[in-house]
Amino acid sequence: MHSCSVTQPTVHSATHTANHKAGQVFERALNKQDIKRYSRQLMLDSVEDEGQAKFARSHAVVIGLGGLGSLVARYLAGAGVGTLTLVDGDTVDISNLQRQVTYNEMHLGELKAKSLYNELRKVNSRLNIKFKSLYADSKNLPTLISTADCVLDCTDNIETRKHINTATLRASIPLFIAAASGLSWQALNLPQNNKRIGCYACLVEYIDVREDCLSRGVLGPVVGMAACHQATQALLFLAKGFNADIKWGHYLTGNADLGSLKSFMLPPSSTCEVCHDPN
Amino acid sequence: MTQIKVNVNNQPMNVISPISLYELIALKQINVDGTAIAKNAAIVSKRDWSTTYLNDNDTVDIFTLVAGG
Repeated sequence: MHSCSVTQPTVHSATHTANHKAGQVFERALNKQDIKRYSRQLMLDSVEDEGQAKFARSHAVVIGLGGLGSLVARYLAGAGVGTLTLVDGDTVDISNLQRQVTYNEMHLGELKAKSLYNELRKVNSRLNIKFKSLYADSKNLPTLISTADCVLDCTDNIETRKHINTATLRASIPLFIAAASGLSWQALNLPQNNKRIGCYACLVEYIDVREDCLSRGVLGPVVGMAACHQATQALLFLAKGFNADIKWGHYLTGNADLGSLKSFMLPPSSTCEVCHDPN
Repeated sequence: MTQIKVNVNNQPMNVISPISLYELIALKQINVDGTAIAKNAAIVSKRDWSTTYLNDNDTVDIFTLVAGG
């Protein structure tokens, strides 16, 4: 089972705010517990105390909670991203357990968004975690992402990916995309506010991308590689903003069998219906 | 018509110039469904494949876009 389903289940959502209101966790200097919890990343020049404080004030929206999103969300929660919105209308199926590592047999049949919400609360009870058990579409996306500092596209179908691209571009919200199939994984960081960089619609313009999550199969760790890259890029951005040392507008392709990585610049298309401005 | 040397997916290849990306794909009998092409590390829109010509020592990467997650 995957999140391509066209059926719209009853919408379930909730907001969990633990003992501390989100965004207030690091208003003061880091306390002893914070320093211990986040010590391994506080050592990094790309995070430090300032980046950790920014994590706490940040809101990331993770759309699609399968092999990519469930792992991405786990890393963002572990790192202390203050507000997380988890979006997926799918339920946990036994075929998911091969690669969607935050779910187990106890979750079978449950809504992924709620299951993940419950698991992430156990990881970091100080976060403001919201879940939306629905499928993202052109109508609900503007509201879902309206307060986001970044959006992570972890979906598995081309139409939803196009809608996410359009919504983030219109709202000028940075978008981190990842995908995987077979032994290949791919990723793209889009600032969504730079006319010298193409958008996802420019990439797939005129291309018939196959809905290959079911037909081609995928090895579990390959999805994990994509998710780890995607979470890393988002965290580096949330810590340093556009000063982060990450590449925007470069399409990364990885082949897990060969252990190879390549990166290609994505220029804007002069005929793109989403990002091209004739003026 | 002259022979030029290009690098396609890390493999050297001799082709007769002029040759477009579209003609290269046909020559290599690659299925275009889901296929993207980068010339000299920049992605070329599929719309421009037939009008983008290769020069000597150009690098071409042909890969399949994936959307699974």
